[in-house]
Amino acid sequence: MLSKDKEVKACYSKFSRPMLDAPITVRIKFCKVGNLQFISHLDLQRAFYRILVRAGIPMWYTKGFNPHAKLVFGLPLSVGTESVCEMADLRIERQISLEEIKDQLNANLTDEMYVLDAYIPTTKFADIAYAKYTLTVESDKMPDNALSQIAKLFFVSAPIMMTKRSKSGEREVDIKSFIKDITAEVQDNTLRINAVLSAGSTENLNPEYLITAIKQNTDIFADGHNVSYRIMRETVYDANMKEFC
Amino acid sequence: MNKQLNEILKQVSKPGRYSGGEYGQVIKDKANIKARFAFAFPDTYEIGMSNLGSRILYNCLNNEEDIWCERVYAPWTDMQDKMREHNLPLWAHESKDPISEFDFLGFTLQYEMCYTTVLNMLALAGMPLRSRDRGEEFPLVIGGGPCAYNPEPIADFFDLFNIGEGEHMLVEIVRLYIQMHDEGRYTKADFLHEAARTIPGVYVPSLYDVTYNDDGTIKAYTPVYDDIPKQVTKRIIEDMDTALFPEKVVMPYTEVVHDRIMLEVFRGCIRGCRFCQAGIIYRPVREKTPELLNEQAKCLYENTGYEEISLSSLSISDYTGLPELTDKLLDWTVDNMVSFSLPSLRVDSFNKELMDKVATVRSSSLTFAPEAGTQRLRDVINKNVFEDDLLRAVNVAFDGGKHQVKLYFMQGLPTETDDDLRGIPDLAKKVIEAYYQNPNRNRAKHPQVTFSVSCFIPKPFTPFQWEPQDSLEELYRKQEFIGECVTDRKIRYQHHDAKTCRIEAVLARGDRRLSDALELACREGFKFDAWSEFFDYDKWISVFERTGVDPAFYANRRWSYDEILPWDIIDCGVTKEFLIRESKKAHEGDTTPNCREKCSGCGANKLGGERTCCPKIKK
Repeated sequence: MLSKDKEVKACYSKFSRPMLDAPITVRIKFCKVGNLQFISHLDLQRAFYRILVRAGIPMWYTKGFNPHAKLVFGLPLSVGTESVCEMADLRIERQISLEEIKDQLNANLTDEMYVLDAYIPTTKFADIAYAKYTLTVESDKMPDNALSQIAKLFFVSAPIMMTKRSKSGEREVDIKSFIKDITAEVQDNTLRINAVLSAGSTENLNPEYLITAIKQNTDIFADGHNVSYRIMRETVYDANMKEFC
Repeated sequence: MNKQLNEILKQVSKPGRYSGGEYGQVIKDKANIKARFAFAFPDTYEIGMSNLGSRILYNCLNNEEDIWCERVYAPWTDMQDKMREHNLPLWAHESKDPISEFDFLGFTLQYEMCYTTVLNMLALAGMPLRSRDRGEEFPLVIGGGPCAYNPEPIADFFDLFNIGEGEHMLVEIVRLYIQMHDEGRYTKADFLHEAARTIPGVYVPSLYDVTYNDDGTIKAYTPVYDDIPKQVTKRIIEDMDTALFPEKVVMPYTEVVHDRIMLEVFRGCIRGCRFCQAGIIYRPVREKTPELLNEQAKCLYENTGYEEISLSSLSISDYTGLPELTDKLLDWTVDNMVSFSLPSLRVDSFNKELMDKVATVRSSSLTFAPEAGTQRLRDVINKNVFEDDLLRAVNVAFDGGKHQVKLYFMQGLPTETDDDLRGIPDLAKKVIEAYYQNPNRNRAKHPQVTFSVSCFIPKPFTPFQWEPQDSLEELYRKQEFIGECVTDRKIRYQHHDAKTCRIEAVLARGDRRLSDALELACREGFKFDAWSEFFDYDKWISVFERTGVDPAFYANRRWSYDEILPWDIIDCGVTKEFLIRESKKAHEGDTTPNCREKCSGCGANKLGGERTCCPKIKK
């Protein structure tokens, strides 16, 4: 059965909005945390088209044989990494306020992924050069010398050679060359690392490589200590280390 | 979120199918819950999330305030390995709690080849396989769906089956459970007895003893109590307009098989093809009104954001309100860039008007199912379509610029000869010829006809339920024979795996004596038998040999009209007399008109129903 007295939903109301003279681009900043860290970038893109329809965002559609809403994501996020600084650009063709975009989207999202802000962008995603990540490693028994092991690994000058996979194939690289800045602290069996890594289309390092390096070069992940870790993308920067927004 | 699961998810393929967190999932406060229901689909998330029935029942149960229904899927093999490595039992999708903590574990049984996955999931949940070995501390294991119409091969593993449509029945079962707990008189045995006694459509296999004759056929089914039904009659929803309709849908983030709106237009089928189980067990036909369907489609569009609607029912072109419904849909779908599609088109009802309406569909190919290659054999199976219908239909498609046609056939049908088989590629050839004779064809393209041939499997509750399946050798010979008749490169020939079809035939007509074989199969690691990469025929045969099962007894024997069938314990509404009548007519090559032309007295009208085409019975 269908409830007859249902309010008119957002996806119809979009037609009552006046057309803009020309489509405009609106950037949304959103978080993607918890269970949703396991949703791949490709799946996220596909899901977003539906979210935009549900939310009644008056998207501009491409005019080709296969019309689709114009939607561009910023820096892809790897599976297993959470983020509080994801961005996407929406092409809008009808009048709608930034506040309405945020509210209508959030009515159709969950507490593990929601819009933090909507604004008119002044930058291009291509200008993203770095990203800051927090890596939190929890253990039943963090080794006493964990911090010095980390320091030896990342601060002493020996290179950390690892096989890096990318679309263009595999290559041996020193992952340290992608680390712009790194700090670490240990407190109550928890190791916390803040790392600024190369990010973007030219040079990019998946923060998972830091975990792999720790696994291979320290005994922090030794068997039987019930070790778990989380990675959070906190901020993205441009080439001058100015926060990208 | 569960830290251990979180760590494991970082190490398996496609973790998004296990993580949950979808928009539309139902989370409830355990403190207010009186019964927890784990609704399991015995296949992967991608398959399970595409099933409309489970989505409906998920909502039915969750509409009850004190019941919390969660979803469960079969983890892929890499995940199963990790679960064993970390001692992690099967969990429910929403809460991540172990299944063994639930009150109910319900399986939807959509195809026979899922049985090993059902047992595999019970084992992953850490539960004993057989119902008699599960004490009060374990969830009640219940089953429903099309395979529950012959639940006998898996009867020993289940506490209870739902026969028929579950929307009301499932809630009544959980309500009785809660009530007996509230009144402090719940025991598993008392509950099962009371459910069998008081809730129509409930079949409790342990309450029926089965004896066998010396020749292996069934001697009798005897209820162990006098106050439970001697035969369990299926339940239906009489008025489909009042049937619960899932306004809220769980939206998968990962790609699933049917990722679109599925709009259920009607239940049942007027046709009565003699091989088709769905055409019998879902009788009587009950339609929804076009007005309501249009509202429901809009509602689903609003709540999902899907830009494709599939009108889903058996033989959709038989819907009396189809022109009205498609017009109403076109009123708003065009502006919203929503396309819609019609699966399962019948050649005799496909016309230009219909094709123009679904022209927004991007596919350049159309699919028709003549099922058999000659008119003689199409009459035997009561398909009631003619070669002219097919050629007219493909010409409509060619006029519209399409150049690819897919045709579905079956081989191994009763009375089939090599001439009938030769008729299959011949028909494909005629479609190619029709293309070149069509003046409006797309001259830039070559025609392409793909025909796919599956093997006939005798299914319970069909006029062909007594028929033998061809031997494996004969199925193979016929597959090759058809292949040799194809000489044109514009014709592509595909066929199903005959070995899978043979095992499916054994399971489809199986009885309780198969349970040892299924248990052994589970112990030996069988799972995902519906996936060709896991199916191993030789292992199945070995399992049958070691448990004393003769597959030919079930698959390749002509059963007699007067023997007791394993599924005689179930009354699907359609009488055995009707099925026998139809079986005899098949062998005489006689057809039966569809339900709308003339009622042939199948008996399903005793179940009632609104907007049917059946004569009413006075109650």
